[in-house]
Amino acid sequence: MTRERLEVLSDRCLRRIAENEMVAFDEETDRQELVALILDALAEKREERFLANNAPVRVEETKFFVSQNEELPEDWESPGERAAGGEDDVLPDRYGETRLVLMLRDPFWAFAYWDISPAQTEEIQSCSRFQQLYLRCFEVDGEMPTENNLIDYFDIPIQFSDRSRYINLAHPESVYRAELIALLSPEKDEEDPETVLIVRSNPVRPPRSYVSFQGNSQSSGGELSDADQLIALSGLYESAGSDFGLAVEDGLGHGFGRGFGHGFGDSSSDSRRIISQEGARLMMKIEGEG
Amino acid sequence: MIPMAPGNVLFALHAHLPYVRHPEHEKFLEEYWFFEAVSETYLPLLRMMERLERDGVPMRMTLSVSPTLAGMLRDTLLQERYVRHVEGLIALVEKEKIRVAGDPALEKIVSLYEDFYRRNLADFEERYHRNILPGFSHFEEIGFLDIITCPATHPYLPNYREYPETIHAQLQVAQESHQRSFGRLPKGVWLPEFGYYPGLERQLEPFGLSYFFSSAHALLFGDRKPRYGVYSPVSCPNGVHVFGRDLASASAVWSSEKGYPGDVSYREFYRDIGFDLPLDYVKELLPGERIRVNTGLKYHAITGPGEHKEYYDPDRAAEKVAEHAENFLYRRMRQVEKASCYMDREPLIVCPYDAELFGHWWFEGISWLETVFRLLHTDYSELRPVTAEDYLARYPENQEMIPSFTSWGNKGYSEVWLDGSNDWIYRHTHKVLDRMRELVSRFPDESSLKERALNQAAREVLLSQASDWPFIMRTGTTVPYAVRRVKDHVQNFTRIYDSLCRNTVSTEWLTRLERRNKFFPGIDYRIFRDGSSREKG
Repeated sequence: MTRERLEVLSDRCLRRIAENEMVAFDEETDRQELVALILDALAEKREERFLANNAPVRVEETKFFVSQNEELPEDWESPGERAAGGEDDVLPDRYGETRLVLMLRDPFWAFAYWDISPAQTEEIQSCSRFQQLYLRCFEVDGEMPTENNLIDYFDIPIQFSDRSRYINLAHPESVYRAELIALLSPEKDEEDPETVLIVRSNPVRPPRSYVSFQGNSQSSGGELSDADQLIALSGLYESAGSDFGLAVEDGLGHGFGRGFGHGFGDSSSDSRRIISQEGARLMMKIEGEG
Repeated sequence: MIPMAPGNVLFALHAHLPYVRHPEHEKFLEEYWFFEAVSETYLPLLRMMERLERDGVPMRMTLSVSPTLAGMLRDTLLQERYVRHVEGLIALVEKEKIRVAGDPALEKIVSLYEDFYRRNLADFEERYHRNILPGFSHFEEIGFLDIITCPATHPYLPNYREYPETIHAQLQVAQESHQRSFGRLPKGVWLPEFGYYPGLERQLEPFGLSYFFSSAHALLFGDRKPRYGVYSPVSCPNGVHVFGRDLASASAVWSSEKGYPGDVSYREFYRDIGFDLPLDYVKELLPGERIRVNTGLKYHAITGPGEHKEYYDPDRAAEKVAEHAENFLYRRMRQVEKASCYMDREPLIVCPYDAELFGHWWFEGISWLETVFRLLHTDYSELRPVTAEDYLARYPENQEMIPSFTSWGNKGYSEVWLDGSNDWIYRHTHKVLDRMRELVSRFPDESSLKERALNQAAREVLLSQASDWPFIMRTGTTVPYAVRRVKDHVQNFTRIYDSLCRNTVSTEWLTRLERRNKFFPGIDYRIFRDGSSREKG
């Protein structure tokens, strides 16, 4: 955003921008000062965005960079006017159905969005025993949680007004499902509360975040196999988190820890360091000669 | 002299823009994305290949052209607008010649742009008669290119994995668009943002798609340890091959900090006379009276961090191009040498990039690419430029594995397309898919007005899924426009859905919408037939 652009905007629009960028101002803040504060906030935001993205994303972003001035919503500049399409600028808040969808984001996070139909909401809320809504997340060995395959579960208390949540997943390669449940207080003569299933999500399986030890060749006695050499040359140890994800740091320990029983030697952390150091030495050698 | 180990390098460029076409406005800001890409990437790429052909320098490269981009390149309105835009730029250059007269440094730069834009106009009008797609076809016919496709509207597929029918529809449209644009069916596919999830390959196979590209860790974190790292493709259980990106060569070219494009001699992308000169002076080129845009006339070099920028020196930049091309190939040869020690076949280095990196972001990028191909021909003949099919012809048998769910976005997974800025869209874009399923089931074989409405509904569904919209929401360039697009397509679809449910379709409204969103005129809504028989990922 340029100062020139901001200086031609109305006071109302400037205040909208300032609020949107969480700039602290009050009635005493004069126009010039507000412009300066907004410019600082936007510069900081651009810097954060730059740091939050890797090289391919930063470059792809330039395809859409035709102006230094961030685009503003039309009604900020011309209040009361409709958007160019002429339609109402609102999508429905709900679609009146009960559903729960789980979307995998990365090895350790999933995104859940849900809705509960008005009829079901009414039914639950009007139940005198109703205590709390929960988003229950199952980690299972299989696709459906049963008595025999349940590894773990945890509950996230939610409100009727909540409609989405990011969920931390403990273990890659397990299967996760989520359920919306209503917790009811115990019936008469019962001790335990009752859980009522409202809806179940689709399953998701987070990806592995380490090199599999299943393959053609295994290392032995601390020596790297040909495959391990090539994996090191492929940049596994050199890349920053932005390419593989922060999970790589954990994954290396996790994966090689498991792999020790399959030919990497003993399970000490020294063995893990040998592999990592060897990989790093290989990459340094290539880069140095490049 | 010790003979160098032979190796292969696979350059793959992905040319894509989301479908942006606004006939309801005389000028529209986001159409400038198209104008810039045509001027700075696609036409210069064609000229590069013409020079190589003229000089007898062979090249082999993979080029992915997205169906939305192909549609825009064929569109007569956008072609007309592009010509008008370039004529406006040439007029601005003429003004600049007068303004900068007497300043040798600036005269040199302005002269460069005059030549550049006059050639663009001449090529676009006279050489290609406003449609540059046959230009790319020519280079495929003579063996320079292998042109592949990508899903129709460039969706980030992992976020639609629960909807196999939309994956099918996206690929169906892609295949038909490719046939229309290039006269043959594609063999390979570029997965948008390299978004892959296990099982996706089962949906590629029915379309005859035999390979795709992926991020490095799709292979490195696959279900089996990759025997050759990323230096050879792997085969999914159904025979579709996967080529993993080489990280070293990616960093050298992608990164503005560590890579070649950040060299201080190269042109600074973010300084443009559209913002440096008075508004009245540049206003003829602007989409709106007071909306400044980049013109493409950039006079400064990167110079260094900070505000001070020197004038751009094309000769100095050309020297750097030669140096960086040499450096790139030298490093690739060393990579091949190292990898060869551990391989019983020739290593392959896979170098996939967005096409717009070259020329648009990195102004000298196309010169660099040309120099690389020339050096491969003269000085680095042990390194063979190949396509995926070339390598598979030599090495048809490859390690079988199931790659890992990955992308090439930040942190290697779905973070860019699923975060707090854009996660709200999916309840809506998934809902329209549910409703499209319902429509196809309720209206299995319509004709006339209802068929038109259903076809338009299919169009709106596909257009709502473009990965560009959540991408822009995350990166913050033109967020209101991206939000507007998702809302428009969902609302358009919903209106069609409601109309069909009430059995009242407004012909006038539908016709207006068809004229505005006329992507893929031949679409058939039946491509969304129930996906229950199709594989989910």
